[in-house]
Amino acid sequence: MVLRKRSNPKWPTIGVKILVVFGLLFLVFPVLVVIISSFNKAPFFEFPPREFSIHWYLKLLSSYKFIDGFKVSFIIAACVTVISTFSGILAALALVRYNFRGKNALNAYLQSPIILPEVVSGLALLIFLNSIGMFNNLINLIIGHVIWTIPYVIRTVSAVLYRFDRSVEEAAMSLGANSVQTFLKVTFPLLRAGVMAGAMFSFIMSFDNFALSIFLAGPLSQTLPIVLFQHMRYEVDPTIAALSALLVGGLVCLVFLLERFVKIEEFVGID
Amino acid sequence: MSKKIPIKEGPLQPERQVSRRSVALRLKPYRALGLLSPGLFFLLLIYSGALLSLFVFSFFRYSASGVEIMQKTFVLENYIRFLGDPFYLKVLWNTFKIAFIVTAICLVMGYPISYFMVRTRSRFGRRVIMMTVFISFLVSVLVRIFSWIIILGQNGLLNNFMVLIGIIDEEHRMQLLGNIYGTIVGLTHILLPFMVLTLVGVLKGIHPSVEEASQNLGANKAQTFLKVTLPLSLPAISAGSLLVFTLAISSFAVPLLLGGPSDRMISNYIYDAFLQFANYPFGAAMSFILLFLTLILVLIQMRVLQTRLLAGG
Repeated sequence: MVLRKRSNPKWPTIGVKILVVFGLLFLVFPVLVVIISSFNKAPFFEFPPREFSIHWYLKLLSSYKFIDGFKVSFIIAACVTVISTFSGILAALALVRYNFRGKNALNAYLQSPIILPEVVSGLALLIFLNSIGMFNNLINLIIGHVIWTIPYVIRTVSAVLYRFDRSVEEAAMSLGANSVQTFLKVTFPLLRAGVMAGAMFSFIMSFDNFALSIFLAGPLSQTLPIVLFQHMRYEVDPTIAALSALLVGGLVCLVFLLERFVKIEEFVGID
Repeated sequence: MSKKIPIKEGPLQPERQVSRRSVALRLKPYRALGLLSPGLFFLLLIYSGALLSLFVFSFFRYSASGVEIMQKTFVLENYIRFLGDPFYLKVLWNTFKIAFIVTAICLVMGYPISYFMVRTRSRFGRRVIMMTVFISFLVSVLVRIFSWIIILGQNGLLNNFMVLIGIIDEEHRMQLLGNIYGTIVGLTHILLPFMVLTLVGVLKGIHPSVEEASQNLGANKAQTFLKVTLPLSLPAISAGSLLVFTLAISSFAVPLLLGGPSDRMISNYIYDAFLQFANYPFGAAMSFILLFLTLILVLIQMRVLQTRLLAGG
């Protein structure tokens, strides 16, 4: 038997590689430009920077506007992470482990805030919360962000739950543990990866949220993205570059920290 | 005889013997309600309430001059105003046009990345791509918009570079911000990770052996791609494109900061109705039109993903 000779030109492989490198550079390059230009001494942007300086970082740290924004965002993100993670774990347990009528519809509904336009959710929540007499911007922001982040926790925790081997729980129960003990001592530690990924998503999504927040925030509860937006609208100066560099640095640290405990690949199938 | 669990729990769960106690645990539906209650409080009570009140508001009448800014009536005038005004129809058309262009660019850029990531044998390469895409996915939208302002501005990196190497001269610096180019570049940058991550999720399901089989039968790589891989990845392509398109039509910050007055998208007008005019009813009506369009896209997307599951892909 004669095997037909395969004609395998090299160009498709090389072509794909060039496209991949181009795509990744497109993603990374702008962020690198911001980080590099944050160390530039001149008050305008020049690239590459001529003189190294941390002047803009010092200016940033002395700007009460940004510091206050950071505080507000941090408090909100911390509260949101706790509430969303707690509600999300329980909801994921119910959705994965129990069967009831309308479960799929409920699941789709619980996931919907991610996909629905943020501006629509923002306006809707503003109208509703004001008409039931809730004018505390901080609480309104927390509620809005919780709704926007619960779906992420449900997804990450469900992803772990689907692969969960139930026999360990059964073992715990047949050894005399009740269901609460089993959950706390057996189930929860095994869910850790999903919970950590979900909590991290909640924190970052809440901390960075802009389109929802701009409807719900008041003059005394300006989150960091809103402060950034208002600053950016009227002037472009390297203080923003310094802030951006810090935000990206914090994010990268957080992701690599998470990566030590969790295989990130398992949680990013976004569809 | 072994007792089988009467509940189906997904394809991966092996059937096995269980104690009576855990069967009982699974069968009490009120426990599920208890577990869901915190989530339901936020999503069913508050979120549904919010969407419902938005719907009700969209039928109110707005009066800028009266004592009460809104009359609680039932009129369709907000919807009629939007759908009957060529200006707003132009906005809608513009929104769709930008979303379509961005989706196409994301697909062309995202497909090679996803395909390479799924097929590469280098674990290091896969990890680098994964982390790059994942971190870009999480970087704050405003930071990314800011970075494009630095790059695309009149005195930005790109213009300076072009002047330096002599493609354009000092007087003819390109206007890349405040128009449709800025919006498209910014949106592509923000939505590309969504495209890649969705494509990867679905492309993983295509077994490399079908491609090997095609090559063993004499097809070269390009033929294999066109005749085997591409048809098999159509569900991935439609899922990714629908997601990116859905997110693109509701974009807000990018057209506001990178686009010009004529490239504003529907979300920007919703915000203006609320902020500039306090015209909640009209904002609510526009929101519902946008919501309706999004829901149609989501339903199509669910349909597509379901077909994929049924086809066993």
